[in-house]
Amino acid sequence: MKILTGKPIPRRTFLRGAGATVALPFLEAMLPARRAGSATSVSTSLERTRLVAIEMVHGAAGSTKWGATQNFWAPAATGRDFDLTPTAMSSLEPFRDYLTIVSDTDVENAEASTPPEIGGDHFRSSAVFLTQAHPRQTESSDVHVGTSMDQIYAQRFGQDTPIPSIQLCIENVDQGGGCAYGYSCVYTDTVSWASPTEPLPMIRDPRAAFDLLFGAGGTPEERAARRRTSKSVLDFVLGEVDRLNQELDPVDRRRMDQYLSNIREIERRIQKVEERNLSALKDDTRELKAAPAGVPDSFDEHVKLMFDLQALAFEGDMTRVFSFKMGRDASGRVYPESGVDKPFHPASHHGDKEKNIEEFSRINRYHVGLIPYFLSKLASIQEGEKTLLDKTMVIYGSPMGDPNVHNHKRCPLFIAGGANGKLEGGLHLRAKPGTPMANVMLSLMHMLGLEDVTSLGNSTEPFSFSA
Amino acid sequence: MGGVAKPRSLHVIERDLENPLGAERLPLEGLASVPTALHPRNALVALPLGPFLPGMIREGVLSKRSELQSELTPSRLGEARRHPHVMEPSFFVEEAKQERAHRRPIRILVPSESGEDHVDGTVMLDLEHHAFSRLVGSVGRLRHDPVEPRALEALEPIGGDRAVASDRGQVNRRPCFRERLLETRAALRERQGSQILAAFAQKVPEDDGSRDFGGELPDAGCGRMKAQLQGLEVEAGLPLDDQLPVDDGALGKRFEKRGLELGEIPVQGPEVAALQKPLVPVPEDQNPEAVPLRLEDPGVALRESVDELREHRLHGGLEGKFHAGILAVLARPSGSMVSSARGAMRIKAILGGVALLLAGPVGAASSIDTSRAVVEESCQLCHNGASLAGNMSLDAFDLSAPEATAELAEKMVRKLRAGMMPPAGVPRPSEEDLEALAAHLETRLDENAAAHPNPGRRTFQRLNRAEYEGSIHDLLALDIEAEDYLPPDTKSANFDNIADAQMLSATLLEGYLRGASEVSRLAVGDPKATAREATYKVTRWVSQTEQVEGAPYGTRGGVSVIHNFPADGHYLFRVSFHHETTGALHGSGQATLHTSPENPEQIEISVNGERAALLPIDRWMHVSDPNGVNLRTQPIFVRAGPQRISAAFLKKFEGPVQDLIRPHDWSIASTSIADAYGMTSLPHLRDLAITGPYDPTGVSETESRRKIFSCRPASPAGEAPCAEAIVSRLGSQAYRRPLGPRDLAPLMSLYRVGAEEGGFEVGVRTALEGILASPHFVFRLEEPPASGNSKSYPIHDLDLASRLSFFLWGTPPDAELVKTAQEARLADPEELERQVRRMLTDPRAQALATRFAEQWLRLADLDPMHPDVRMYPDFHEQLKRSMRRETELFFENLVREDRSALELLTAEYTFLDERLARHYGIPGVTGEDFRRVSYPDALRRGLLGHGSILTLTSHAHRTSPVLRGKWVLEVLLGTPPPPPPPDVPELEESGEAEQGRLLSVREQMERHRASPACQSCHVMIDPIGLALENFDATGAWRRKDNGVPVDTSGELYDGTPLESPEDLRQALLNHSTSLLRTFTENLMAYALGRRVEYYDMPAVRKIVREAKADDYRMSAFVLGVVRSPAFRMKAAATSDETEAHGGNR
Repeated sequence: MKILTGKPIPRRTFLRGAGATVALPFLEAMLPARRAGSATSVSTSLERTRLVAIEMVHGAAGSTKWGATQNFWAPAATGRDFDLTPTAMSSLEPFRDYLTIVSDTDVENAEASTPPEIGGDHFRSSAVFLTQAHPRQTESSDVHVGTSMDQIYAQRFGQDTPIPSIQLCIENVDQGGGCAYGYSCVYTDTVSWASPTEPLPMIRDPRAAFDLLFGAGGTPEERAARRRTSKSVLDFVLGEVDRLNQELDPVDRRRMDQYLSNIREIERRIQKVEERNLSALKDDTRELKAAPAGVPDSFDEHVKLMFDLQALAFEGDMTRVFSFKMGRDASGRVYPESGVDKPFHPASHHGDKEKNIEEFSRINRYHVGLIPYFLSKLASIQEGEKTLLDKTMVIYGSPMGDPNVHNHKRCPLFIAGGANGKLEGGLHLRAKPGTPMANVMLSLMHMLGLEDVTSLGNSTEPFSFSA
Repeated sequence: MGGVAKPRSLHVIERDLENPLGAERLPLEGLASVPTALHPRNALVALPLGPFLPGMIREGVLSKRSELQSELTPSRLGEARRHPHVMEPSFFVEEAKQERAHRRPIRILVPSESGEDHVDGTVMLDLEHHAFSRLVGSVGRLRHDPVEPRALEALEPIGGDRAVASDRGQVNRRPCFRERLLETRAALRERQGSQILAAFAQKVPEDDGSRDFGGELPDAGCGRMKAQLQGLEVEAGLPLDDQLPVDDGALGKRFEKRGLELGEIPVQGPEVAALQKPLVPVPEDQNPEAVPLRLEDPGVALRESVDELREHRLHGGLEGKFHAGILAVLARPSGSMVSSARGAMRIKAILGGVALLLAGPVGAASSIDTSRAVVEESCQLCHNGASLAGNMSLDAFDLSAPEATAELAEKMVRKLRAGMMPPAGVPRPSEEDLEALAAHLETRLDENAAAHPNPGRRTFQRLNRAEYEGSIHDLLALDIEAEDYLPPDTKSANFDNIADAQMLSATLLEGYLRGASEVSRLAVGDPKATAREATYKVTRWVSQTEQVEGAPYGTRGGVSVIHNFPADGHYLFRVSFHHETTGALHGSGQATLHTSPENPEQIEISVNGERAALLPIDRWMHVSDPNGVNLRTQPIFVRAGPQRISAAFLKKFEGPVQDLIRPHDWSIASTSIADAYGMTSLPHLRDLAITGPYDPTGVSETESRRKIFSCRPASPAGEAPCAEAIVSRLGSQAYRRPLGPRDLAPLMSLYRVGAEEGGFEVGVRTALEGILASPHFVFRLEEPPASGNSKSYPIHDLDLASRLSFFLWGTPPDAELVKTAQEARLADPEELERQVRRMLTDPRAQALATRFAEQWLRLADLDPMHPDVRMYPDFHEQLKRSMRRETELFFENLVREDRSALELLTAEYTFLDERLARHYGIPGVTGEDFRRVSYPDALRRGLLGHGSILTLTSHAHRTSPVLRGKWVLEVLLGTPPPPPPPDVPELEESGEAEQGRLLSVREQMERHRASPACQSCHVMIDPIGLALENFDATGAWRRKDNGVPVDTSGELYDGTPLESPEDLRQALLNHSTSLLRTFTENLMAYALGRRVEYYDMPAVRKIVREAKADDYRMSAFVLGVVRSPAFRMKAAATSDETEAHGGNR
């Protein structure tokens, strides 16, 4: 008999769920035997821009009236000659040439649109960040928001890689007290939506993400051994099905044929993973020495591990799309490294006091301060004539503006990386008041090669990135 | 010469089902046509009426409207005269909200204008979700040579005193009649003026002055099943379509009698007076051709046909097919006779009269004649080619050879046996006659089946999650959660083992491969395993006051799981707790911890019941702490293999918690309210994470390893032979048959691959991975016959053994069964019976309860049920689990004690633990163990008193008589009601309060049922559920609902009055044949792994018939299924089938 507690869902279930979510489109899309020139398409598509969309919650100190005067987020000057020193982005100075700041855009769809929605900003806004759509207020399964831009990209171009996209997060999902005001927890738990009704689970355990990317096994040797075994087992299954087919009647044989074609697809996948692991990572010491055991206690360590995985995955071309939720709304986490001992959520309610706003800005600074670690990793990986940093678009932002009043105006947002030449870097743009962040997202999608996408959420027109 | 009439758009008006007064235009828009000539009228007559919003005061609207109408009608008619180009006829698209939601385009001809001599094609009217739509009204007279348009003309002078003929002579129309009519019927419907005129101008026999028929009556006596017949109408001839009220079709009971007289018989397909050939629906993309039309004989005046009808009525007796003829005549109203809307209106009413005549009494004759009379006079009344009630026509049905249309005949049998046909409100033949008809049909069908047996066939099955778990358990003594690897099973016809619904997808294949890889490693153990984390979540609905199953005694709450440890080594355990929005530990408030600071609450981590760690709960834990609201153990050494791990609170208090609000078993109903003042709450475990192994030291002996390594090689030379022994034993067990050399060779090469990699054990593990991934294991393939010619063949003994064991145990066959099969003894009926009886007494037969009954009775629907915490604060996960267990044990007991299947309804006992007994209010049951308990009274007998069934058919905050009724109809009687038509508002969700008090569920429902569109079906469904209203949404007994005494009275669809659950049980027992057949059908579908088809029904009846001799014992049904040809035989795949299935498999 099963456990009386109802069903404790093993973590693995969640992970398998996540695995299945990504594996299925992959398999279905992997019809490469039939796709002309698939061999070349891989090499040419290596030029395809890698996308990382990072969400940080709770807005920024620079989005407050006073904070703006202090340039806690946006630098004072627009254009190329801006001073990052007072801003939360000061740590990005070494990557200035890869940095494009778009300040003062609004995320209007995260605002309440009906009276019952008032107050539910924390439990609504994450779902808006990449969809820029307005979530339906419901606690049931009839959730509805929009398809997120990372998923639009992955659905279009993600099939060249074994895994179209991966979703990562840092904080625990489905927290007690984590969701309220009539909003389902999924709005708070993920930023990636495969369709307006399909939230994608985010992986918190680095080990699970690792297994998904590189196969099960704690060490490179073990993984290699497992791959060898899998290949033998597949060959065996193939032989068995062939043999069976001679005995089956025609109806059953057709059904089995389908199974057989699936086997070949999986076989291809194993080969692909192996090729990439061997070619890209063979004599590379950058590979994690051992697969991570689980979730590290420290925020710092956890985030960096996740960045390691993302860089590794890009390097092996296992996937080209990550969404990464670095925070969770209403989180009471304390970031000792930031030098602030107030928990995140209480600190975000700064009461419009200058001292508190300044304090909150240090938390923002700390969060952004983790990004250079990732950027330098990307910069260190050479692919052809460029580095991965040249080829990557890292979006970092928050769907909230001033957290004290839960508004969604003048939200923090910057884009790092060269995006394959689409982003010049070294630029600070200040949007006209009332410009939807969706406009920026729309332009970014165009830069990613989704030129035919004409709108996202409440976008009104593409945002102009010219200085 | 002549022009071409172009299709133009016509608005479709759909009655607002919720509010009969509202007229709402379909977004679909309509089609058909409005002649341009109508436009001037549009401009002239502007009616400031509607659409009405729900909630408007109807009385005011009505008087205003009738006032306007009295002005409108003459003006319109007069105005029409001034505009000769007015289209004369109207279109009525009739539409029944039917069972099936398929698209069926119909076409409507375009009316023409002067100078037009033919129609340019037709317009497609494609009404989604509506089973059929018909054109009732005439389509106008399209003359061969330039069409001569006619004006609308009034049948009678309008307004003022007027003589109206009736059977009782002439009566004077009272001036205010129309207005009164509207007023008196306000609650039900509102009619458009001209239609009403048409209605009372009509002579209707026995119109005794009530005069409040409207022409629109529920249906042609076919009753409740179809009272929504007029769901949609198209009014073509009338402009201002969205401002006119639309007829609302069905009426309440009050008009039922009238309905018989004046119901409607819809016309099949568009009837066009002048059209020579029948209209055939054409797909939209096929560009229908232009249809030349010519004018036939002038139409018969409506009045004349009415008279004609009355003649028939007076002299009695119309031929069965007569009404179609009448129809044809009536469908051509003379242009000078009647205005558009009225024409069609009358047609419906008059045809209803015909129908009544057809249902006249018949003389007694031989039984087949009686049966024939029943079919013709009762069944065909509605189930004809024209009405297509239930989308079923008996026109071609031949009572002397029902087997020729066996599928149809089986449908008849099903409805007849359930007592559902003919529906109430229709002349009902005597029960004897109905019985005779059913018996006749069954006899013929059964004889035919005996002469032409058809065991049916299905494709091969695959192991679903449950079977996979069972197989792994048998093979490797390892309990796994198959959901970790395999995608969810697709259900079909209630069950998760239906072969053709089991898709072989890439995800599935990946799942089996991953399963093979992980399970083989878990079973053999992995001394080199690296650390990783596994998290077990605890749902919020688990009460933390009660002990969790598996956790040590003296603990409360928490979680208890069996975790498979891959190696001996150290593991870390982390427990995390729910916290409040502010970050503080949930349940840390003043009144919530029951211990002092010096003696804090503690949580114990135990391995196989032995304490491994005791962690004090720091009530000041906070999310902002470095460790958050988590507690961690030191590394703990655990041996490899499955071990039970529990994390549970030490119980430091006894008895109920007294608090200001009330004892709250559900300890963390919501984090936002649970820490409210005066409401006790406790710290609540959120999850348990196990990380490891660190420093693995090897792999201890586990049961799995003992099971696998039946030999140990003494020397390197002995490795291969030993491996071969292991592989052939495991392989044979996994493949459920002896292994041949061709099976063994590839497995042994896998062994060699592994052995090269890591020696003997890895070799065996690799071979095991192969076995678990093999199609011979994951698919339940059955051997084809030696000779391919026969139509059907007995399946192989070994395959029969597998069918038997997966049926009765949900696991692969055991050694004895395999042995019997190998000795070819299963073909012997006595041996077969012996084996079945042996298997039924085996504990594994509980799978019949946990797998079969669980799915048949839909107990899985209980999982997502979380009754509203404020209304049912004492409901929690453990109680739900007890409910489910009750039903499982109950069914298990029926099988084990081989009791009558009728006890499903009548059992005077059940199985309870203390928790559930308390919930039911049954005293004297203490402790966690379930035991047999006899009910003290008749209120809660059989399944209908089980908390599981009553809860899963409820909503979170209230009961649902609809869901309960539907459950009974569907699950117990096998006669599911049709799904609600689209766009129907949630029943019972209308106003919930009135005059300052909440309405009871019944009151809410009755309000809603006032909507005629809903009434026809709900009158069948709801009384069943209402009889159970004394059980609240969690199955507890109650006397009041929202402060109102519960009213359980009602009437079963067959007319049996219902007052109590006991009445309902008795009434259902009257249809025990249906119950037993439904049970058998389900049992059979589950056993066969395919849906039960009409051609299986003779076998089902045979099983039930034979079980009767055995007092309907459970074993009789099981044996009946096992002995049936469908279970033991298989039809060979025909070449047709091969072709047919080729593409989509």
